[in-house]
Amino acid sequence: MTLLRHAASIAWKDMRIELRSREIVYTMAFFGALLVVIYSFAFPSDPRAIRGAVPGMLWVSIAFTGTIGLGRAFDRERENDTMRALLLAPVPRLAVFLGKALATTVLVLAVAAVCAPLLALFLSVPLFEHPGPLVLIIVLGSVGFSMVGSVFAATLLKVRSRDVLLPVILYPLLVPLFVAGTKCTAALVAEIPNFDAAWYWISFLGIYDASFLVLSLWVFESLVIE
Amino acid sequence: MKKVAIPLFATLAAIGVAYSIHLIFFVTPLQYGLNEDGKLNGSSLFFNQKLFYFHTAHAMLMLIAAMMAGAASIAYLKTRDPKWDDAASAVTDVAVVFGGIALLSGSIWAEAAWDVWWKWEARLTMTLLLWLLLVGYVLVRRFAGPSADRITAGMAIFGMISALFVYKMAGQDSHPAAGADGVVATLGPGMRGPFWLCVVAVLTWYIALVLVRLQSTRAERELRELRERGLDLGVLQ
Amino acid sequence: MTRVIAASAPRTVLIVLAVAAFAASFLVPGAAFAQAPPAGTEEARKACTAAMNADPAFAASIVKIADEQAAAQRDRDTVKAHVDANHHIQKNQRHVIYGYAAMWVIAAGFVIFLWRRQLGLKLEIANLRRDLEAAGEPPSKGRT
Repeated sequence: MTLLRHAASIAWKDMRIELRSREIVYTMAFFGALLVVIYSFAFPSDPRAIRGAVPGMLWVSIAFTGTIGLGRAFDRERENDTMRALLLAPVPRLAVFLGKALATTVLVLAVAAVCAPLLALFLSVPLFEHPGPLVLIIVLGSVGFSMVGSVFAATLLKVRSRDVLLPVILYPLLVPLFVAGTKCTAALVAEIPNFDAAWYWISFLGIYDASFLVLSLWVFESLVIE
Repeated sequence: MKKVAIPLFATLAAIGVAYSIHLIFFVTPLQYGLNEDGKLNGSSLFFNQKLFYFHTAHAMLMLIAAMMAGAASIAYLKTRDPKWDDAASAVTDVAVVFGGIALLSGSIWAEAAWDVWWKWEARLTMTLLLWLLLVGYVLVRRFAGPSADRITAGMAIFGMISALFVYKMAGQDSHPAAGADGVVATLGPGMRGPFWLCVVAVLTWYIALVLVRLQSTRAERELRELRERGLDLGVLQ
Repeated sequence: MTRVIAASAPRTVLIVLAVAAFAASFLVPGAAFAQAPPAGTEEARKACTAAMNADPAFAASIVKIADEQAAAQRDRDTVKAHVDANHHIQKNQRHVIYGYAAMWVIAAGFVIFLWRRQLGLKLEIANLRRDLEAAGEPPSKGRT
């Protein structure tokens, strides 16, 4: 349990820094809102086509803003050279990973909380008709994204072209997550919502998250040595 | 043994490939199939006889190579022995080339058989995603600097697990000419022998390529070490 | 008596002809000649069937025309199927050749890429070794 306590304190440290300046969350949220506006221009305004496209828009927004947020969160550590301090601290390395993943999850959830209502508003799609499964799938997706993203953002910390390499590494690995998210959201947004499909994809994503959690915990120590 | 390995495998591969091409074009039976309209079934015409063997062999080798890369990466992270890292890198390079060959030949087949260059069905999606992962591996190897070995090892391991999930997600297999047990079970009697011979020939070709690539990976490593020595001595700057 | 019949012979012939025509109009199958042709296809089909059932010669001629037309259509269909299949086979052959060409091009390209990289590496290693030896370091054992 001390692992979780350490992870929570690391996450709380990140949250406190973020709450003081709110830099990342404001910029991420604004970027998400801009994305929604661009989508309104980019796609034809046929309501049925829009309804089919909205799940993809939501998850693409999460992907892009999440990548930027991950980059920024770890950049902060690198700029102040606090990563070494974290790794030298008498907490297990896994706690660092879990804390960072938790903090990033909160950031991504905050952005999703901005993007999803904006999407529902601008594109007039009943996204929140069944809020339970929708919130669940967004939470699971954010957790999975932050976990895998934290592993690789931490390893890419000192690499020169980390900004472009992070998406190059992350997106192929996260394809099952995004497909599950879009298919579940599509099942919820459809004219006749398909709850069987939605719960199937939710359980799929849960298993995905669990598997990658175990894998990340196993591999993180070997990947981040400096 | 080391000196003779590459020429040996290359010659074996050349003989194997030449003999399989002879078998393919002159010995295996042409398989005609009629679909429901009574028209000739495009994918069963010349392609089952000619393109199919090499296309499937290369795709199978890409999968095998990806799994080998994952295993080598696990070994590397556990032991930190550079030879595992070299092996993973060499195997992935060859896997990218073989995957490209399989995708391209499959795409040409698709254009003739279905009149589309691409279809988002299960096996194609999986192969494309796995190939994209491998291409990402090669890019990160090239551009990530000194810690590339660790990062790419992580990518390979995560990629293996992700590939499992992609398989689950892709659902029912609707690949053409794939029966319930996959394609090989549906092969006619005259085709199975040449098919396995073709797979073996491509396997020896793969081994030859991996050995050659290993040589250059080791040379790169030696170059890095020499450069470090030179930097230490002040010969370089 | 014969003078009466002979005197009225043209009239008689006319009368006999009229009666014969009138009677024949009953015998000749089909109101096709006596009535206007019916408007819809259903009625046409019924009329034609009735006519064919009534007169076998007419039926035979209709069947002969139908057979000829069907044979001509079959010939056209066969020709079209052959042309399609030939086109199909030629397209397949072309694509098989393209496929093999693509595979060979990629394989050859990769081999050339490996070759050139190997040459470049060997050159650089030789240069570096020379520089290091010139600086006085003992030469290291090579692995290539």
